[in-house]
Amino acid sequence: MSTLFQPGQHPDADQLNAFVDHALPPHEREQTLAHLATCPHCRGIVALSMPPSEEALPQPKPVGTPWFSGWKLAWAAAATTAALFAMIALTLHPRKAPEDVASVHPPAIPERAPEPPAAKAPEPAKPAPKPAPTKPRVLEQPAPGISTQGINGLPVENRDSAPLPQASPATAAARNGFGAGITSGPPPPSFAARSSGAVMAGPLAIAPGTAQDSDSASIQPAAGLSTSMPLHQVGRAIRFGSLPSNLPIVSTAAHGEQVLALDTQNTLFRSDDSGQHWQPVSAPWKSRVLRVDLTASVTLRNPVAATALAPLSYAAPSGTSSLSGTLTDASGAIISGATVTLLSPQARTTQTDTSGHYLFSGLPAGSYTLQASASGFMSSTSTVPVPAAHQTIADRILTVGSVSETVTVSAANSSIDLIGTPSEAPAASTPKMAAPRTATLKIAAPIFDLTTESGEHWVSPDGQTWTRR
Amino acid sequence: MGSVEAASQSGDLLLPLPAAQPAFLDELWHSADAKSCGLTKAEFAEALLRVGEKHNHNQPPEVRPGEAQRTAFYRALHLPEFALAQACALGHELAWQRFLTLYRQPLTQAAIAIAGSATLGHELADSLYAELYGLRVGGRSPLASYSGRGSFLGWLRTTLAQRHIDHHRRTHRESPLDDLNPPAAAPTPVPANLQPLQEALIRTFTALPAEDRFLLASYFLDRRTLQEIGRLLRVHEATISRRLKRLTADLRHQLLHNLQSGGLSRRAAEEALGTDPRDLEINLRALLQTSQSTPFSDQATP
Repeated sequence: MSTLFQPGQHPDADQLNAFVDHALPPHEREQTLAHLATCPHCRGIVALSMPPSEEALPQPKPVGTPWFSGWKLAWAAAATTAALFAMIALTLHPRKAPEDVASVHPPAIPERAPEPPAAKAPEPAKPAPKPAPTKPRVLEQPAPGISTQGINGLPVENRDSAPLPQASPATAAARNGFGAGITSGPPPPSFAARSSGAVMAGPLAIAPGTAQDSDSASIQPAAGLSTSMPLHQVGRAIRFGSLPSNLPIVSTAAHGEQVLALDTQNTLFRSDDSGQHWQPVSAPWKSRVLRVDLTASVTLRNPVAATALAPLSYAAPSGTSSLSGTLTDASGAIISGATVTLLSPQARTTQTDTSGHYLFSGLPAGSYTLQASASGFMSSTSTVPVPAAHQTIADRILTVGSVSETVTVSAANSSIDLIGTPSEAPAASTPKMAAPRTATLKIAAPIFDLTTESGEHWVSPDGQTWTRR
Repeated sequence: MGSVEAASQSGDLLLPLPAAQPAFLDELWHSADAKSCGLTKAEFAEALLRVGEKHNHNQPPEVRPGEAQRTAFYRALHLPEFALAQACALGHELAWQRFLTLYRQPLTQAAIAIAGSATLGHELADSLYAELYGLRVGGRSPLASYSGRGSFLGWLRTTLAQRHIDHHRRTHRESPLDDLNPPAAAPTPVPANLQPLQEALIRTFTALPAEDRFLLASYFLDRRTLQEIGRLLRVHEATISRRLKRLTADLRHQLLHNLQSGGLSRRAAEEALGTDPRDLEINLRALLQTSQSTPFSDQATP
């Protein structure tokens, strides 16, 4: 025990110094603490005798340490990145809704495009004159430079080619694979939905009809076979300026520099300079417009047998040939899961997909025996010529029953040769049909097609004057 | 020290040192480099014996230190600084030359830091130096009180702080803290409802451990920062913060307990804790740091 640190006395300097240096034994430390707790003077001495803290001492300044070095820069970069993300998110948020809607829209070629509502909606069966069915055949084919938007204002992109505003529609269609599958009955799924990209890629090898033909200009369904071909979902996405109404665009259709746009207030605008200037279109229709499309009119001058359809073929770009088509029943309903077999000269088998579509690709040129069979239907056998480097379309209609049916098509008909005598189409119940047929396919200029809520179709060649179809 | 000298004369000079006394003394002698300070071995041994006896070799008063404890005590000393201080206290010029070489500047810097100004610092340092050097003859130098348990520079700072406070108290008129709130001439009796609280406060504060009272006094009375208290106790300031928080919570709990043990219900004890402290006839400051010691100034200067 320190003799200088008796009860009632202050610890001396040595005692306090040893306390500060933590050199006191526990019992002396306890005594010192007890004294310090009660003695403000000794606490003051202790506080004054504390060595200066290191931070209080003059520290050498760090030399050459930039402010942005080390972790400081990392924090600054992280903060800047976070701020950028926040700004981008805030900036894009208002635009996100329409882009999200657009994102759900399936891309166009070569992906399968969704079927337009008008094509999906089953039309009421029209009374077909017998023995030949008079149901219209629908040829749906995309054309270049033509874009449409769906009913929800979904932009559609055509990545195939640039628009050809100067070319005639038929020529432009022919350049861009204006092929057609011919079916009967209610409007089947669109061609884009039924065809693969390979099928769609080649130019059309058919002989287009002349534009001067009066029938080709007919818009109304003729007594013959008039086929309309919606050309939506293949056009390149057209980024128009804002409409005069400053409202979002619901649906657009464009042909060349002619553009139609429908805004959310159901006002139709027309532009002749690719959307630079807009003019409202007087609406002869009464109900709300659902969508505006661009369609092409194809008229087959002569009706053909519904159960025996000539294949359509057009040149394939790659030199290989393909054979594709759609199987439907007599009512036009697609037959999925049907077995389609090529018997000769090359034996191959496939099945129709959910759209009733089948495809044989990579075929060498030749005359193929095509057999289609499905449960509950009579099998159909036909000979299909497949020219070299052409894509041939051979749709088939299967008849209900179990009787086999054979269709023989002349092998000489390598391309569409539809000018000739009308075929004597046998009845569908004919067990075996040889159905060489000819018809005239005329392709008119693409026209704008407008669908209203009540199901009306209004067409216009220029977007200005509209005629109910 | 006469007994030590007599023991030295009779051959029992190093009796309190460990058994291997000559070797151990030589070891300490060489470790302290006492010869360079002009200190003789006998002077060095006498200083060691005095320090060991004074502090009972860091053992409690009731414990008789063993050889190992004595050995550990001597080896734990700052021997070179101890030898220098003792040599200076004995007036060896070599030691003073070394002192000036080693500690003149640190002493001045410490004095400036304590005084808060260069002028006062230099004055304070010169005053202490004069005191230390002037009293070097006759063994009355304050340097002789340096035990070597802490650093010599720390001892110098502490002595400087003492002298600075002495000087301040001599030259400034101070009012005792109690005078700031002088009690009433005729103390009014404590209301009966506050009597239990006052008694509970006294019991609670007096029962606090020394370190807790030191913490409370340093933080709440001296307004020391957590960092300053942490540096003094060599713990992190966050630890001081946690201890203070826990201490105040325990104080409240202990007060409640004492109030309840005094006969109050829980609810009454809670209400008593809500009493405005100004209504109490009790000086919490005085209660917390009751000091029965003599004034500091009386002890500061030997």
